[in-house]
Amino acid sequence: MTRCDPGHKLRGMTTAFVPDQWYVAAYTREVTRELFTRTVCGESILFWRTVDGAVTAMSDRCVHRRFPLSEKPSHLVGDTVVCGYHGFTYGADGVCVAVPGQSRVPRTARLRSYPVVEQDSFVWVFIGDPALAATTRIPRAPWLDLPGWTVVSGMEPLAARASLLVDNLLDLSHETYLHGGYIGTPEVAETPITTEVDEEAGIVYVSRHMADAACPPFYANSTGITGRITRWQDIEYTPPCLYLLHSRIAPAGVLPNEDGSDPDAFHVEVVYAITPETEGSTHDFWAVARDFALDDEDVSDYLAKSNRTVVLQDVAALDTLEKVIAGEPDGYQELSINIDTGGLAARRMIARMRDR
Amino acid sequence: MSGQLLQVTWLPGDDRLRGRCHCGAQAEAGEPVAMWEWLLAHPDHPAGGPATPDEAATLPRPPAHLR
Repeated sequence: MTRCDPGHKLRGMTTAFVPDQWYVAAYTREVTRELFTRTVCGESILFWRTVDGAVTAMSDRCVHRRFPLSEKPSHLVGDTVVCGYHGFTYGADGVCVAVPGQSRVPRTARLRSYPVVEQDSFVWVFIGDPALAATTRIPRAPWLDLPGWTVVSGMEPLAARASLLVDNLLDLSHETYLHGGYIGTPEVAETPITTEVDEEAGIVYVSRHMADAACPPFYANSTGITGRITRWQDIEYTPPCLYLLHSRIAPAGVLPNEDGSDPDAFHVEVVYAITPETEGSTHDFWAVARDFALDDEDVSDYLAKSNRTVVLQDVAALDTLEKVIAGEPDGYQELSINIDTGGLAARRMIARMRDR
Repeated sequence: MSGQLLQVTWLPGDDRLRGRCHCGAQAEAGEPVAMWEWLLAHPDHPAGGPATPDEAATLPRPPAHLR
């Protein structure tokens, strides 16, 4: 049941970015009154908060001689940023308000500014035509900033193209092999999946429901369940950036009530924001939200440490894979099987978004 | 969900995939590349279902101890 499929350089896995989209640039906690920079889709962007607390996003290159405004001795003065090289000074809208030694500010002296929104604990930035920002959806991950949920989160730099992380996250059968002893058990790789593509909404769903599975340490140690479990994995991926894994854990045989309530299960929302940094590197934002043991710091510490370990296992594998793929000639062949149904759907959706 | 759903189900106990388009067309395939090509051809789904790959050409020979 196999077939060769052209590889990443032919099948929507090229290294170009999807334009005119919102991308996660940072956690809200990262952007303060200190100058902060992050490269998103190849664009170096400067972030800072105004005195009133609003997030600003503008090019991290002074228009004068391209000095990075995030580099000291550049600094904030009230709601302006002063370049540390020659003193060019910019307002929160990116417009230059002062230059050294002359009273006239060149009309073209303005930094490119970016539409920016704080939502669900993320700072989202719009990459593309700013006129399209207001009408372009920002996908939601409400559990990250919602009463009744406790969240641990982080971000790991990935020296690999974003499409490799999309592949990784859309096919969770790799948990059995790459993450054994943490989140992987034999049932993950053995259980068939159902894949759905919502063409209008632009969402890929992949579901794997395991009725009677071993409980991996990640969930046994956090929930206290000691026996076999019913484990549901429902992926909801909104290309290009936001990936949600709705994870339901319950003692084997325990199902939701007919009215939809589910008091005897443990729910974990695993969130990834897949943000290209460059064509060959990615910001791997990860978060784990839970609706149990809300105030138990030991559980928080355990989940944070374990999930980071799992993410770093992926990072190591994908960093290696990037080196291999980057060295392959264009048009190399790869092989796709049933477990890849969701990943292939995501590739095709991203390719359409990028090429339209 | 908007209603424009394409669905691919991996049939339990089997290696087959069953695809269903939002227009109601259905087909089975042995692997996902052909399945998506058939589904995404909407509204012109190829008659006869997804192309069946030549298994002999795509699968390597089994190891000697399995022959």
